Amino acid sequence: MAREKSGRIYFRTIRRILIGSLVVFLLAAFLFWRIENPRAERQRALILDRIVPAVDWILVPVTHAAEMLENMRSYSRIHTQNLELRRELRKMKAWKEAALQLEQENAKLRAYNNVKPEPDLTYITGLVVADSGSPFRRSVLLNIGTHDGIVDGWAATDGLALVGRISGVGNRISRVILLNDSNSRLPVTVQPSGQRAILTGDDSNQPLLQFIDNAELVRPGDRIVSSGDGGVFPEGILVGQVVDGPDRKLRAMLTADFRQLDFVRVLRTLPKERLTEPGELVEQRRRHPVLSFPELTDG
Amino acid sequence: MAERTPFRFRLLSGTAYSCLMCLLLLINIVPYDIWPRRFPGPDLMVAITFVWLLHRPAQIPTPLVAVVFFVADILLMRPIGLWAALMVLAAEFMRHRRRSVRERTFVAEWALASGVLLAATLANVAVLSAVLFESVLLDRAMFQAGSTIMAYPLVSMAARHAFGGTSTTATGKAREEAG
Repeated sequence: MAREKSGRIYFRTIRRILIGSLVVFLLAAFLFWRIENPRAERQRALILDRIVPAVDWILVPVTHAAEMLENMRSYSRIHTQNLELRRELRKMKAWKEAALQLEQENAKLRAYNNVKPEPDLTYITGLVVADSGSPFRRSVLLNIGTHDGIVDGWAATDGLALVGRISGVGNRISRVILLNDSNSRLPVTVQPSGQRAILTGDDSNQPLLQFIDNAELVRPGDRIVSSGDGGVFPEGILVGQVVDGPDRKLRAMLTADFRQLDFVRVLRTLPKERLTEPGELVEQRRRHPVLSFPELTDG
Repeated sequence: MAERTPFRFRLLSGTAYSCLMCLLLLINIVPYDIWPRRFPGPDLMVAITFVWLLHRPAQIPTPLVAVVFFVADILLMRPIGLWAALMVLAAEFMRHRRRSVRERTFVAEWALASGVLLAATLANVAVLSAVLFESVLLDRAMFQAGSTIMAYPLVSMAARHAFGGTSTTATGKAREEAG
């Protein structure tokens, strides 16, 4: 009897030590994550890289089922939607006409001016395979990665407007931090006043506009485009519209449709050449006489 | 004692628990619900784990809980390891404390689970803000804890059906195992 009792105490002590070391291990993992964050996140990306493609075949039908449910729900609104679409189509036709005219005018002016439009902007399209799964993080996983040439920091759009930026790339997957994630910060320009601001995600549907140069010049309804101040991001990509938030702060209504995010277009941007010293361009020109610029002539 | 819960049965129920958790994880990462809702839904993984711990603690050893939540931390983009550590502590606490709610009314069980969850949530937020993690959203974390607590009775009811009756013998059995 006594032996059995002492055995049990012995067992309990061992168990306590095991559990204790388990907790210590987990906390050590947490500290590692906090201190060596980039390295830990890279490890995480590697693990996701293994797992997500492997469970793709499960994810796809479940996603489709969820989508079907959502579609069923939207059937009930189909008539009003139809009317709305017609109305919008009519408006769009007018815009299309205007756009065509503007395009022609633009082309003509470019020809006069010999302006070279941004040449490096091409894109890679990826499929959304998973989301962050946590109610506090706004991000999605795409099925493209370094294998397809994705680089950290590139812009992700839904074809029309910005949805976020690449943060974390695996071999065959990459993660897009969406604009409304609470860690997302994006330098933007508000048109037409040209005010610079930072678009700060705060986990709500409408990210906050902060650090506006002169907030009086910004009106609800103004267009917000990316400003390219970070150097990595291309500039002039549509983000959304300024709205007056319920808390009297200026917020952005995002143009991208986050509810139906299934394809994401990642813009391939090459870092721009930077002029750090005055006269550097001239120096370069002298060094490479082959790359001669067209002669500048007066008038 | 031990011969009443054969090893094979425990292995089987441990596997069932792991499979259920994997399924929940997959459902969590399906890209369906991207848009933030005002009230985050219940964390079913936590609710189910707590119910299981209070009803059949012998079936899920604490290391299994640790592994499950560690994997969840990695997949769900949470700070790695912290929530898992808190869940291990919670599991141990509940394992020892469940004797006092053994002649339980349901309310006692619910109160214990809620208390542990709230404590874990607060500790999580406190540690994260102590290490200056960028954005800690206390109100949203509390909302989620709240909705998990609200969901707890449903999960518990479902568990009672799943485990079948004979709760008392199982409790005694489990107590011997755990002790």
